[in-house]
Amino acid sequence: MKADYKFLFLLIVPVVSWASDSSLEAFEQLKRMYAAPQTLNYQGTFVYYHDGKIETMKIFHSVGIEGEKERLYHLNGSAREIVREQNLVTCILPDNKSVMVNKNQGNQNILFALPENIEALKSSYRFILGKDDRIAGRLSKTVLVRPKDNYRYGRKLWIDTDTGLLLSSALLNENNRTIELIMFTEISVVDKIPAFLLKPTVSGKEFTWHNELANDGVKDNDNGVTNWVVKNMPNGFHSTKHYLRHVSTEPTVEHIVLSDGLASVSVYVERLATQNKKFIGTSYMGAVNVYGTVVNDHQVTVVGEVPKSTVKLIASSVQYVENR
Amino acid sequence: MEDEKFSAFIDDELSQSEFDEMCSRLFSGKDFSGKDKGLKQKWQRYHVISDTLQKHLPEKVDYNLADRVMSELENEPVILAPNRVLAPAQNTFQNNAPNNNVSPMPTPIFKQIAGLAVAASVMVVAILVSQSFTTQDGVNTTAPIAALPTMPSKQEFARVSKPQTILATQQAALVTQQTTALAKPQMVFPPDFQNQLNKYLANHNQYASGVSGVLPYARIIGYTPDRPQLGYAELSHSELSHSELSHSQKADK
Repeated sequence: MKADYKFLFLLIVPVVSWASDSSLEAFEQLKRMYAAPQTLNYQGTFVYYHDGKIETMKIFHSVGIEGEKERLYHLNGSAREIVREQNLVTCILPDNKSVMVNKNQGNQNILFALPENIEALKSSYRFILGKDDRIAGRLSKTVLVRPKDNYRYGRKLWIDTDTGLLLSSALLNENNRTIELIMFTEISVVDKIPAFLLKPTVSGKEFTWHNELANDGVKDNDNGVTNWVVKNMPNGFHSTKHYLRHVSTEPTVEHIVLSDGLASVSVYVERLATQNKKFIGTSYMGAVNVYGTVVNDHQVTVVGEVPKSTVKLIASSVQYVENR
Repeated sequence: MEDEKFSAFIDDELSQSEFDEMCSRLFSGKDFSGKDKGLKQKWQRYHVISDTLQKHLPEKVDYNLADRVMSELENEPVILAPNRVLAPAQNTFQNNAPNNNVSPMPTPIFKQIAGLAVAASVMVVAILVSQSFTTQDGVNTTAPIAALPTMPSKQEFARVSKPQTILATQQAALVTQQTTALAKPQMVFPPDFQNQLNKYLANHNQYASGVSGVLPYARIIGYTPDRPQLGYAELSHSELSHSELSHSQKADK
C-alpha cells in the first residue's frame, strides 16, 4: 500500500517542476525580447495580418546616443510611414496629405523586468515555453501567453534564439484563432543603419500637419477627482491613467485607461449633446471591440483589444457617483 | 475528363465559353451526364476540399449555400454592373487634397472637425475605411465607420446590397461568408457618432500596450484601400494544436 503512494509522488514531482521551469524560461525569453531592441540595430520586412487582409512593411531600427530610432513604412500602395524617436511619433499619410506628430506613449520595456509586474501578470495569464520553431529562416523560441479566463485574448510570440528579437507575434481569440499577426519574412542585425534610411521619403512640405504636442487641451487628471467609476472589471484589470480631454469646439471627454498588464481598455465618458448621438451596443475593428451605453445622460464608450464580453462587462459597470 | 474540366472551373482556368457553359449547367442543376442534380453538391464539395487544403475552412461549413444562392438568383434580376457602395466613400477621402474644392461628394469629415480631433480621425481613417463592422450584437454591416459621411441611406444600401451578392455568386470562387453577410440587414451607427468613435479608436490605439512594440504603429499605417481581402476574417493557427494546449494546461496544474 505504501509503495503505491510513493509511486504517485514520483509521478507528480517531475510534472510540477517541469511546469515552473517552463514558466521561468518563458519569462527569461520575454525579458530578452524587450532588451533586444534597446541594443541592436536591425532592418527587416514583415507582414501584418488583420481583418482578412495582409500588409507588407519594412522596418529600420537603430540605437544611438539619443536612444532608439525607428522607421516603419508600408511597401504596398501609398507610402504610409511612421518615424519613432525618443518621445515623438511622426506619422505620414500621403493619401490624406497629412502628417501627424504624437507623443510616444508606450514604453513597455520594464514590463517583464520587475518581479511585481510578473506576479500581477501571472494572475491573469499562463506563460508557457512552446516548441522551438523557425521564422524568416531563423531559429526561434516560442512563448504561449494563455489567458486564465475568457476576458482577454491569448498571444503567441516567436523570439529569435540568437538575438532575442521578436520575429512573430499572434493575437489569439477565445477559440485560439489568430485575429492579428505580425511576422517577419526577413530580418538582419547590422552594425549601423545609415541615417538616410531613417528619414521619411517625403518632405511633408505640401502636407497638412497635425501636432498633438501643441494641443494643450489634453491634460492628465492626476488628482483623480472624478465622479465616474468603473465598479466591476475582470480580475487582474486595474485603472492606470485618467485624462480629461478638452478641445474648444468639443465637449470634455473623460478618459480612463484600464490594463491587466498586457491588454488595455479605454473608457470614454462624454455628456450627450443630442438625441441622435447615442450609441448603444457592440462594434469591432479587427481585434479591437467597442461597447457603448448611456449612463446619466452621458455616452459611455468602452474600447479595447479584448473580447466583446469584456468591453460589455466594463461598460455596464460604469457609474456616476455624487460627491466623491 | 469532365472531372478535370470541373476542377479547372473551380480554379478559374476555363475559357470564357467553357466557363459560361459550366455556369449554365451549374445553374440549371443538371450534371454533366444530364441525369441528376449532383453538380451543385460537387461544386460545394470541391470548394470545401480546396478550402481545407488551403486551411481557409471556417468553423462551420454551410452545405446548403449553393441552394440558397440559387433561390436568391431566381428571385432577382441579374445586374451586370452594380454600384459599388463603398467606392465613393473611399475615393472621397483619397481625393481629399486641400485644393480639391470641386468634389461633388459631401464634405470630407476631416474638414468638419478641428485640432486634435482632426489628427485622431485622419489616423483612424487610415485604419478603418472599408473594414467590416458589426453593430448591435452580431448584425454585420459593411458600413465602415470612417467612410460613413458619404454612405448611402439605409434604404439605398439595402437596395444595392442584393445585386452585389448576385454578382458574387456568378463568380463562384468569391462566394464566402463575407459576401453572404452583405445581404443581411444593414445597421449603422447614429451619424453623429462616427467621428466620435473614430477619435476614440485612434486615441485608444496609443495605449494599446502589447507585447509587440511595433503593432500599434503597424495598425496605423496598415490600411491600404485596394488590397485583396482573404475569404475569412480569421486564420486557423496550425501551430497551436490541441495537443500543445492540453499539454500546457496539464503542466500548469
